Amino acid sequence: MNIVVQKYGGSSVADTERIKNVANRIAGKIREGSKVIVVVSAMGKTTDNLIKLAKEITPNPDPREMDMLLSTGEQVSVSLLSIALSDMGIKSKSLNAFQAEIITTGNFTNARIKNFNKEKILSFMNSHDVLAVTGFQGITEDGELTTLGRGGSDTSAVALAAALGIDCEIFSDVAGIYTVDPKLYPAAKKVKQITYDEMLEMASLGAKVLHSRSVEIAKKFGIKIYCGSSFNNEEGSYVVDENEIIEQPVVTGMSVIANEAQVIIDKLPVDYTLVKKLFEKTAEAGMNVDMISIINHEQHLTISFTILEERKEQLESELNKVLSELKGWNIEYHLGFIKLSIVGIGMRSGIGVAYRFFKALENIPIKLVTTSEIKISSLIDENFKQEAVNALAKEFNL
Amino acid sequence: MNLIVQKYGGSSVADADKIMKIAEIIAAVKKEAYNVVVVVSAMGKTTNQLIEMANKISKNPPRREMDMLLSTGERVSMAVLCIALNELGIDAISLTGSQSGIITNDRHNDARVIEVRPFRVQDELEKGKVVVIGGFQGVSYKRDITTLGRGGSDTSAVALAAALNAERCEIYSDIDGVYTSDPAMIKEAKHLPVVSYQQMQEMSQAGAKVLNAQAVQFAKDAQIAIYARSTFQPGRETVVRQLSPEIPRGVKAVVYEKDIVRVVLHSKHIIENFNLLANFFEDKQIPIKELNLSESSNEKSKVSFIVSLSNVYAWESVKEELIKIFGKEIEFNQQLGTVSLIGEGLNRDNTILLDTINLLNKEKIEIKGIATTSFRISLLIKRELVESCVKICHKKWIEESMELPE
Repeated sequence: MNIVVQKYGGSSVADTERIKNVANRIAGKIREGSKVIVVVSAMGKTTDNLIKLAKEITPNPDPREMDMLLSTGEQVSVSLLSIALSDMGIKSKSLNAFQAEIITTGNFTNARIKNFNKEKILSFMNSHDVLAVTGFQGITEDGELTTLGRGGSDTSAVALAAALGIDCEIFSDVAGIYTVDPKLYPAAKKVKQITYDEMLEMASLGAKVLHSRSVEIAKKFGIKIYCGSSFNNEEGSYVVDENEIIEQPVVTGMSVIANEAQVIIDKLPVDYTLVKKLFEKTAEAGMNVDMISIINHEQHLTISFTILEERKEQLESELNKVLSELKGWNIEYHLGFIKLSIVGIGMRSGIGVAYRFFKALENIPIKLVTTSEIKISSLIDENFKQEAVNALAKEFNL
Repeated sequence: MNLIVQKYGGSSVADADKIMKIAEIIAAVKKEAYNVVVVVSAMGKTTNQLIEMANKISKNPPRREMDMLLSTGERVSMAVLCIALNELGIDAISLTGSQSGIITNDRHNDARVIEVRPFRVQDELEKGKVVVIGGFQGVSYKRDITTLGRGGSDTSAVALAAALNAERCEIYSDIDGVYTSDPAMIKEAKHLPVVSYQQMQEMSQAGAKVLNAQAVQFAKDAQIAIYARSTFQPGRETVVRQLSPEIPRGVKAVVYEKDIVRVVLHSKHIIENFNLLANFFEDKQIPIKELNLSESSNEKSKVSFIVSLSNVYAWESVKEELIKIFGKEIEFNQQLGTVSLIGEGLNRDNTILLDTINLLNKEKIEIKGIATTSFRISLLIKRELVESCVKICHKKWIEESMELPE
């Protein structure tokens, strides 16, 4: 039995016409002799609308109930897709997380997939040509509904493919992975291949093509991910293991995160348990903290890091939990930045990347720079966004 | 602690403001030291919108997939209601039909509740929580999601009330109870403060939308009183409960159904072909009513029955299939409706029936079929004549009736 795992994002199933289009694409695979497991997101803006509905009642809805609410979106799209497939004479069945037995951890709104019931899926496949599985959600061992966080449907699809040991195709309204977000830089090129590590950096640095966790799973199980458009047949991009990479530019891509804030906490006691607690709290709160620097002035510590501006209030309340007893420290927030990063495994062996980076940004004030083996990140005044993007894209031929 | 089961219909949860108001009502009941289970329908027109989307995609959506689709509506409203209750400081948890242990048969779109295993509900009640349950839905033994047909949230509420041994079951909607006819159609319809289980069941089966027939059956079996009330206009209510055997007092209510098709089959081998036809409907899980089979020795024999389309989402394709099987022998009388007179012992003698026939003749309302039971006289007529027929019958048998109320 030749099985293909596909995932279609929200814009690919935004209305009934697009759902029929997806059904047609799947029908094509069936004609080629495959069976298809298709993971689907909620239609278009459904999830946003449901969030809006909850926020009309309270700014802090209970996470368990949010999952109960949000997980309906995918159930609507899988049943409609299955209706469309049946209408074409294809034997199809929709499955929600409970029926597909997608087991997750119990942290509501941000659960992690633990396992799939592979036997169950395969037994359904015996009697059906297509299984339409709800993305983005799972159930705990106690039968509670959970969701996997933004972009979680990618993870559902890749985890399913990994459980079955096959590759995964992810379709959206974008025809693949670009060196730079084409909205920011229209001349951006589509990459043919990108490695897991580069993709992880790109994903965590703001490229919204794939959910990080899905790439981690693909890497762990050695599953190839194909990203393409559901609206045309243009060749997309592959996320693959390093060994499969044929061409290897120094820099593969650039990512940009807007609305970044720099946080500087000064005059803290030299107490690394305190530092640990601090980052423990931000981690528990699900905050993405980056560009961390800690300077030990012997008498005291200065810690600086970046967060998204929208997280500022949340950070304050988390910090209070740790620092309220202490005196003498102060905190500063610097708003209005973007985080601009270039990524590429070629940097490992490439020489002079940093030089080229700074040369390109010569006339732009840089607030902060951090580097890793395969990326250079910089914090830049948001007014210089376009200029910086253009300069770096040109320099590295993106 | 005593338990109350409340059910809120779609218009009561139509938007965030209304949900907040209901949360306040529930909070007040909870503070009177009651345990509360709340059953909710989908918000406003949600179910219709979902059906519309499915119909845009297919004329013949699989029944299982329709249930998967429609059951999301209640999940949205129950989660939002819980969020609202939490906001008021009331500890609440939402459960789907399947999490609440509502087990049904697998007749998708019109499933029957066959068992309720409310262990999870009981656990949560013991923790002091208000339990909010998605109405209209259950789960089959195959773990497929099922829905209970129109008005199915009533059934969920009463079935849970019975299984949890509730003190009472309150059904809230935009109408303050049961009337002698549909108050939206008949201005003169009279409010009924008390209705017997049997009368309510007959009314529901004949199309009255105020309470679901299976819900009334459950209430009767468990002897739980149903209180039908208006959500936002407290005051009057109707109690549906056991009444001592009644003296026949003529027509108690006039109810109607507007989406009826009559299927007629002419055949020389009528028993054989009827068997085929009945099995076809069984397979499609579409209930048939008012069966009439008459054998004739010289000509072709005839069998007819009516189908209510209110829970059938793919009638056109069902029809096409039937034509393929039976060709010219099958005939469909579409665009029909039924008007039913409800009351104990209506067929005791034929005066009510004959008077009604004469009256409708005079008003040029053609009767296409008649069925009677001891509690009901049903007339099959053209759909567009339903409203005037209900008006005429209600005027004659209720407004001008000499029967004294109880």
